[in-house]
Amino acid sequence: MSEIQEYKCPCCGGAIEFDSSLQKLKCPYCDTEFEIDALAQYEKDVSKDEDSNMEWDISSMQTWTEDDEQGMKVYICRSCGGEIMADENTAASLCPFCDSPVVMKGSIKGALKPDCIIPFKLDKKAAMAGFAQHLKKKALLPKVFKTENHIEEIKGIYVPYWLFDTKADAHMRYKGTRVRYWSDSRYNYTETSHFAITRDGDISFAHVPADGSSKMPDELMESIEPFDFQDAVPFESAYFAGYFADKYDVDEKQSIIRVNERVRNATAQNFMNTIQGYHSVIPDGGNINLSEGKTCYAMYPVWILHTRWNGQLYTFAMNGQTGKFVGNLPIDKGLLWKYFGIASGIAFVAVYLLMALAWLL
Amino acid sequence: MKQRRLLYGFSALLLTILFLTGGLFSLKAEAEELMHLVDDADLVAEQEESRINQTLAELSEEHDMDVVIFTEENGSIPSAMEAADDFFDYSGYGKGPDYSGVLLYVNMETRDVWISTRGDGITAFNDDGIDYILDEITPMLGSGDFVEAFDEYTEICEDFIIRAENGTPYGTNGSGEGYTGKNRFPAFRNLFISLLIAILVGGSYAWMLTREMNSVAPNNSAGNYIVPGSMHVQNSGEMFLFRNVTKVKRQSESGGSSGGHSSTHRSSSGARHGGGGRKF
Repeated sequence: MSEIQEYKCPCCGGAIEFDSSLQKLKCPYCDTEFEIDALAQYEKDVSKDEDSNMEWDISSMQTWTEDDEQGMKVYICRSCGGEIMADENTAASLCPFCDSPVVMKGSIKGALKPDCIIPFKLDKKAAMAGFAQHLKKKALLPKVFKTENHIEEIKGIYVPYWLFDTKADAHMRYKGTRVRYWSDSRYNYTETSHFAITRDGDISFAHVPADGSSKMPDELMESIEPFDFQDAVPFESAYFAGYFADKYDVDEKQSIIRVNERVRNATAQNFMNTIQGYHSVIPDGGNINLSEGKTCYAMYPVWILHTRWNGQLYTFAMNGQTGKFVGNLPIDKGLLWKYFGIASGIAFVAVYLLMALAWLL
Repeated sequence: MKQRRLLYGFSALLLTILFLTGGLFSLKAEAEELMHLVDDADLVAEQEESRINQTLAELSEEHDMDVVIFTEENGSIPSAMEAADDFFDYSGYGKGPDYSGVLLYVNMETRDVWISTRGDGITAFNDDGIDYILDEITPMLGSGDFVEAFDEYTEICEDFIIRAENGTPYGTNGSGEGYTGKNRFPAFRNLFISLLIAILVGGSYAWMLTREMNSVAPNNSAGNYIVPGSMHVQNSGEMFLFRNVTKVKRQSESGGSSGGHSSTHRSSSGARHGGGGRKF
């Protein structure tokens, strides 16, 4: 059985969306604005009425169990009655027939319900502007890329994240060197003294994120960090209206491996920063014990853009909270050689002239 | 009248005497200039002395720089430096307007060996160069192999003078002022160095431009999520493990346009000398 939720305007019945600039729900048809809490309460009341209809929906969906097994689910749009086929992990989407935002309630119920959400702060226009800005001042970008690339898709997605809180008790070891130079009339001397350095202590981490969706490349999601958890609010499904969302398909146990690695690196680096008075310091092992561990399930806002150029797909991502925009761009090899040649040429002439000048003087 | 004639005659005689005497002095000076090995301590057999003397004279003529050896059994001047400088200055050594030359002084009583330089010799034989010569010949002098030491000295002197003529005195990177203006701009070497630096600069620039095209990279640190003020260092330890010392022979005081450094001083005659020495 698959069940969806749409947010209908209590005034005109149109499908309403979350407006990131207002941080409220707004009906695009009658421009009425609603507070999230008010609408959530309203929807609860409405859903009580609809409970009796649920049985009917279930019976009508029975024939689609085969699709369920294949990882697909079918939903019926309540605005137009069209059938929506979606990935089993989909938590929010748009009806392909009437463009109404829909929320798959089954994906955010019970244990699957996110604990918190950072609502979108930046809208689609900001994402487009971010993309235009991203292409600026890129010397190696093929000249035709700006005009010839086609934005195939631009989607605001709530990406499922696992957030980890922990306290790290660390016993870190480092190797340091101090160097002393002196010289007499015949030789230059270099004395290197080697030290074993230790640092014991603790450090706490809060809301270390790990992407819980296998569809989202981890590198891309780590590149748009950091997210500021201060903007997080308790989850309400109404925030999904107008956006796409997936439920997690990578659980916290799998995510913890990467989080441990990042916590270990940050701990080693921060304790290393307390070591002063050495010419060089390198980590030399140690151990970290984690305690007071806590996880929570959150939804973070991400704009994803797909563009196609020369038959190749390029994916870009923008942090929907901070506006940080990332994505690898194609490189024009001709331009690369050209700039290499220009820089080398200038350096060659400058160095040669300097050497000639030094000789003359 | 008679008195006047007598006066003219006397003047003519005086002039003739002066002329002749002057000629004799200059002949004496020329004769002394030819002696490039002055072996007062009698360290070298006569035959060897003449051979070394001839070699030094040829070397001096060919390169326009006096290369001299002076040995003493015991000296009246206590300092080897002063003894060497004075012998060079007052014996009339030195070629060209700068009185260019190099002199090896050996005192058998005080066991001093000193190298004194003047004019272009100061450039050709910088501190490192003098150190090098002393490193080579002091053990030979110490073991009494004087002929061997003087031959070695002659050979190194020739090598250093040629290097200086080519614009790269011993221990310099070639940007030095060289010697007697005969040095050439080392075009091929500088071309190679410039090319190498240019490729490095171009490569770094291209790498920098490529880097700004790739903004997707793993973030290996959770540093952004540290709770502010949560870090406490409870114990800090530091333990000395070991120490090692490396030494590198000083090449040159690079930089500027002077090449290898030469320390100089004024001799009793007021001339500027370079030099260095030690005991053997």
